[in-house]
Amino acid sequence: MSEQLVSVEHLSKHFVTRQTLLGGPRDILKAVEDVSFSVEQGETLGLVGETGCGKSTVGRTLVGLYTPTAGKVLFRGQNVHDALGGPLAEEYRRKIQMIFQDPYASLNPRMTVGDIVGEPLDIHRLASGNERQERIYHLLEQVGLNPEQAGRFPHEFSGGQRQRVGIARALAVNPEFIVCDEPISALDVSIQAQVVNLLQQLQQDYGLTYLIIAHDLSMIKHISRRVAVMYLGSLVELAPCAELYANPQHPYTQALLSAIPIPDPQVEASRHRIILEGDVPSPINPPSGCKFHTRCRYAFDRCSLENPQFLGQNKHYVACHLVNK
Amino acid sequence: MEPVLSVENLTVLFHTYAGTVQAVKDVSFHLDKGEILGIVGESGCGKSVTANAIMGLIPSPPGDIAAGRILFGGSDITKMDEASLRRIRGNAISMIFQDPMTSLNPVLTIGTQLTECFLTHHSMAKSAAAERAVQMLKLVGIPVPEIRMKQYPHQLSGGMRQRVMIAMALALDPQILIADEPTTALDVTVQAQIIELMQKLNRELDTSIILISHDLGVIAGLCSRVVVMYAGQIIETASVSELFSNPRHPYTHGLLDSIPRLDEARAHLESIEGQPPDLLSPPVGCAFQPRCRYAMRLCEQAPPLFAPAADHLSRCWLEHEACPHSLPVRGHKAGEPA
Amino acid sequence: MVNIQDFERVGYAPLSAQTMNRPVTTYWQDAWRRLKQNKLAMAGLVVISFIALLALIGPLFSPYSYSDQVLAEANHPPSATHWFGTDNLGRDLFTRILYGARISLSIGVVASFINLTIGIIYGGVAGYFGGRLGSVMMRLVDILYGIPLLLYVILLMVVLKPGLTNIFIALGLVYWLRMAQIVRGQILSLREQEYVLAARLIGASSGRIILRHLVPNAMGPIIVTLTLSIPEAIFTEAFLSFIGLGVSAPMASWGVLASESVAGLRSYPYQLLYPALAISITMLSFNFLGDGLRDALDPRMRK
Repeated sequence: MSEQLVSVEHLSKHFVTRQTLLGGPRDILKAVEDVSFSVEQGETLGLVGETGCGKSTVGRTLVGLYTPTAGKVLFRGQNVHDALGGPLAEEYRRKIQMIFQDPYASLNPRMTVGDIVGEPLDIHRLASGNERQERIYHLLEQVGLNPEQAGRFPHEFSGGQRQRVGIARALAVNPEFIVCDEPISALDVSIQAQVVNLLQQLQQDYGLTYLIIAHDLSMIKHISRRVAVMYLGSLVELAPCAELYANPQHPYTQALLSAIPIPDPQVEASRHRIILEGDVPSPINPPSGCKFHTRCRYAFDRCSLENPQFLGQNKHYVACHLVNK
Repeated sequence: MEPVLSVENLTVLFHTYAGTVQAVKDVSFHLDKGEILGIVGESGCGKSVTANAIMGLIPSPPGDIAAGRILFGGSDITKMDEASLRRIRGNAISMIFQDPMTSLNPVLTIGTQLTECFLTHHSMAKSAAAERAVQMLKLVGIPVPEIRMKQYPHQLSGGMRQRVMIAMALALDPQILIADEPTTALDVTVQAQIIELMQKLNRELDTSIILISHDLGVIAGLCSRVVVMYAGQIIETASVSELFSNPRHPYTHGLLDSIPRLDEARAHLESIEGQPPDLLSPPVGCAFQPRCRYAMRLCEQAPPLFAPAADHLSRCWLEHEACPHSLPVRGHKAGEPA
Repeated sequence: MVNIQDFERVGYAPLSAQTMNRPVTTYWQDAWRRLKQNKLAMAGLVVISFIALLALIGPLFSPYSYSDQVLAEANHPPSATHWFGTDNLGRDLFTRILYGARISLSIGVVASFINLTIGIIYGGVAGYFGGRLGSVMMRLVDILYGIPLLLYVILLMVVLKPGLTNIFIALGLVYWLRMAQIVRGQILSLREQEYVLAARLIGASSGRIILRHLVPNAMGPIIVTLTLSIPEAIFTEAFLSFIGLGVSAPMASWGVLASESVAGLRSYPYQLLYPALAISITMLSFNFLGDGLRDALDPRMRK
């Protein structure tokens, strides 16, 4: 049994969107509601869902950019947010890192690429002078960039190269756990495979653990060991990768998988798609009971009254009244 | 049958402070009535510039249609004046864009924007235009359209807005609809809805569609013929089944190898290394050569379009009759499950 | 003609093609190139440089000083010996205007930099820390802004008594409000950028984030505001001097010169014309330059 590196327990994160002048919050956006899962050492956990499902919020809360409204995040048994508020903060900043989605916004346009990669070294006083230069060059090489271009600015690089710079920056502190927030969705198709291959290679070389947040289920299937599906702030299904894709149990997962286009015209022509009616409800005013019941083909009376529990066997968990009878 | 649209040797240049960018170079293709043609390529390949050229939307100081013709209804779009172009736009050729939020006017209601389409091109009573607008909203599958008419774009979801865009584009029953990455900004379940809608509209209204996308899955599901662009040129043209089962150009071949498929498990994704060339100083010879595993010495000369099979064109020296090499057959046959 | 050797395979080296052909262009080089294309802005820049040069070394070349009174030559119109004529005490107006340039320009620049410093600190703190502190700080600014700033300056000058240093103090203490609003707005919009989040994640302190990440990227609008606030300071000083609250005689800022000329306006209009022209041309030049800078420094215009 692999060690649990990160453990998320009943995590909730709410945002106040509108507030009256005299205090007293008005609209509360329940971005994440009672989410629990764990990430094992050395694995890649994929977290998927559509817009508004809360996956990005989960990612940002895990790395400490947000503080939880309820619940906790544990890293090797230690509460991450407590640690970040105290003397252990620096140490935790080195262990948990993040790679961002937008290669055009995640690098400071006024800093050279060498300085961007070197900044973590400066902050944590990990190297200086010549050794610092060498480490920067080494990192750039590791991610497939030409070290001689360390004096260039981000706008001179392509999207894929910028993403590599972001990866180098995250690696500079020798982290153990990296949350990748949509690392390839802003990249061209032919570059996506490059970056994915790089991430896999680095995982092997450095023994990294990943949480990959994405909406491209085909790519997630390729790189994840286990996959978690979110809908409107809650986890609806979690299973080992092959199991989820071969045997999706939650009606939402089934619809999601059937909606994904496959680059093969004959397969596409003969496919039977489950088309979901209507739109995703607003997370400010989510439906009662099971949040998916308004769009679910199998909904029955219990679904609008009671939120289903996240249960399962053989590592395959589902939150659905129909499945968990 | 005469094609509805015919692009011949189109070349579009952009004159910037740093030099001249060859955005589109010698592009030729045609669109038949009622067919869905796909244009596949990545950023910078020139697909959007081509679409804009068809609509006459290339801004004239930096942009410059240096060569070629775009034949539609017997006339050449590249030579038309602004007044004639305005008669065509929206009326005979329509376009929908990637981000419906920025394509819709946020301060006007849906109803106002939709009726404006009708009133600009035909003289009819406002009430008649409103009725047609409601009909169009029904056609694109928007429930309770009468209520939606009074709403503003920000009150609609992304999928709904895209449907409204499609309604506006089809309002005047154009012959051609150009869809520039219509589903890229949408969630995958909404994307499935829009794909289904476009299939239905193509069947019922017999509108010819040019679908521009970088998503090969969407292309595979909708199109009957596909054109692949790279660095401003067409590098392969084929029917959709032929392109996916038997790609002849190393770029297409590499692309298909580098994308993961839901219905199969692959140990390793074979990526195409490097990145597309800088169009300011385009490489001499084949634009794909630096990234091509099959590059030959001959590739230092720009290859012409060869025709390895009927209706299958490929811009690659591998297709030369005297060439001893050929692309490996793709390991996975189309239609076979993993 | 194609022969069989042409089909020989060549090596596969995609990464070697990743060289960068264009020279390194920093943000400033790019902005300068764009600024050069704006004719009005460049004209403004040239005029300002010229006036500054004159202010610096002009008086050295003048045979007159700004305070020598030759009553016999009072109120002479422009001539070969006195290019701008003389004032009512026989002092050479051209020399007076050159010295006036020194005073007016230095007031404009120094006051603006004081505003810049206070504004960056105040706006930076309000913008970065946000929350209740930020709201309170900005509401204070909004309230203070409700009254015409000139009024504050006049009141301050009445209390402090006229004088050059006091003008610096008065202008510096009042006009930072605008800069603070601009800085805070910029910081607010940049704060949620992903590179700022990344900096937080790697453990950067607030100070480091503000100084290394936020302020450099906010410099565009800050510089534009700075450039546009210089003419405002010059004008305010001219106005104060005009109503007698500015620098004291015999120091001659342009406003003082204008003020002194009013008495003999009908007979000697040239005594007002030259100071007024000096003020107007200087202000216009800074405005053109500021407008040009606004376009040149806009990061969205980057190609």
